[in-house]
Amino acid sequence: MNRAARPLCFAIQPIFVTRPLGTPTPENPWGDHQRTRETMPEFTLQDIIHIMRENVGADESVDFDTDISNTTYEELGYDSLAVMEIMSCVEQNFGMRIDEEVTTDLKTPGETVTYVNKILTAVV
Amino acid sequence: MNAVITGLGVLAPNGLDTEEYWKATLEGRSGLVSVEGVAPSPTPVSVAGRLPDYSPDDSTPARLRIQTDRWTQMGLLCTEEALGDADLDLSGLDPYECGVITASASGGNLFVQKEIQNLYAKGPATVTAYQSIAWFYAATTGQISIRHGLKGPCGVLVSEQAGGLDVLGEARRALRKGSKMIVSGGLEAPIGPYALTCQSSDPRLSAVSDPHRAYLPFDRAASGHIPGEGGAILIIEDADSARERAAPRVYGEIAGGAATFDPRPDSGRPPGLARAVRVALEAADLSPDMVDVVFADGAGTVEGDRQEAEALVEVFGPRGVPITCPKTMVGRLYAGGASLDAATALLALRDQVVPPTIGVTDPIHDGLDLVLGAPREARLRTALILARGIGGFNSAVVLRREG
Repeated sequence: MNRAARPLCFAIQPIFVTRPLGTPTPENPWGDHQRTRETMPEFTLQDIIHIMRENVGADESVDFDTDISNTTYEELGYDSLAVMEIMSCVEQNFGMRIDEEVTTDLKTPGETVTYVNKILTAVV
Repeated sequence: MNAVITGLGVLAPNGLDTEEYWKATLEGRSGLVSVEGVAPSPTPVSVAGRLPDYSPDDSTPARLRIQTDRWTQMGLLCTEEALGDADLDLSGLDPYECGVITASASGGNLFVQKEIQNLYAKGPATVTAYQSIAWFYAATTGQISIRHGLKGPCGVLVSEQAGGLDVLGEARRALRKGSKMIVSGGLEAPIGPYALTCQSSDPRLSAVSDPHRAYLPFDRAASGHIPGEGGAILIIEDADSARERAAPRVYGEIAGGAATFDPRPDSGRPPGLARAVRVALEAADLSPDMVDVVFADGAGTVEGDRQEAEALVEVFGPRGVPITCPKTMVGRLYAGGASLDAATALLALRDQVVPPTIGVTDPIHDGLDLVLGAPREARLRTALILARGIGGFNSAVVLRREG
């Protein structure tokens, strides 16, 4: 099954759905898209804020109008399960995979944005 | 050590808080409605007890809404009401002396339905991580515990429809071990396509489509039961600490209780219900003549009603005690049903009135003093509540008004 061809998380426009399907290989069992620089999307802080607010739910005490890029998920009221859900939505919306071991190292939205863009720009 | 109930929170098909429910119940107002089309064919259910105009979304914060089932949202709302009713300032209590013990018979049905649909239609990656905590029987207990910072004994009892009473015994046990306050009770949200499909193999479900005739326990026209959603949360406190903090009211105390299990159907031995009643009375140090009212389980099936009628006549004698089944107005709320009955019994003790059983006109047994059609004023000090669960669970609890 091709991961990026699946319908995506509710709110963000699909980016890769119209692209040709990838072929599953032992190294890439999900058949994720082989990306090129020309089709590379950019992942922004606004994207992850959107996911946090719409898909995962925001703690009432958090003010998203302030710069939260260096505020930890924990300080924003997200436990480990919520962070997992945030990463899962990023994966679905941006047709990519985030290594589970990396997930625990990404402590803030800013770190996540940097990491995701690094993956998205890596030309395969 | 006495365990007393100091707060109630109710959500029922005929009332969205304690007083609204109690008023409707005394007036004999039913919350049973047609739910034609909700259950996929061939599930026979076409009538159910549904919470009217209730949307948990209004009362649950966004974060919690996304990660919880309707059933948990109902539990959170009932807990708010119950804690408010008990006027309990949790900051004044040691969080490790406060716990949550609830009952559930089916977990987070509606959440499961959504995620199963995602799984089959869109693939495993689209199933939310919250599925892992939202469906689970303990989810409501866990969310109540987290929301209110109650870090003492927490658990969930899954003993089908008897669970709503079993939790009261479990709460009392926790108080005996040193806790000061337990949030207890049960809720269920079993009305939806998936939830009703899960119930569809149960031959006890009523296929009657008239809401006034679909669930008639102890009536010759009994045709099975209909499901309903809702339940109740009860705040159980150590009597001494309730007195010390000057709790605004004590509805009553848990005087005694017992749980038994039926023998195998072909064993020839009698069902365990009468034994549960006797052991509960013994535990409360009461003789049968000291019980003022019985809140019956009211299976609504020929066999279940007969067994309960025989047990009641065996223990109390023919027409030995007023019997009522207010469930006739809301349906069977599974794990929520018996907790709601316990709350109803406490309101009956408070107001000295037995709420009616509605719809029943042709009782199966002359030995039952059923309170039919209209409430009956009476001097009430002690109430017995019975609950039976599919598979052989029996539970009996005696509640006693103080003073």
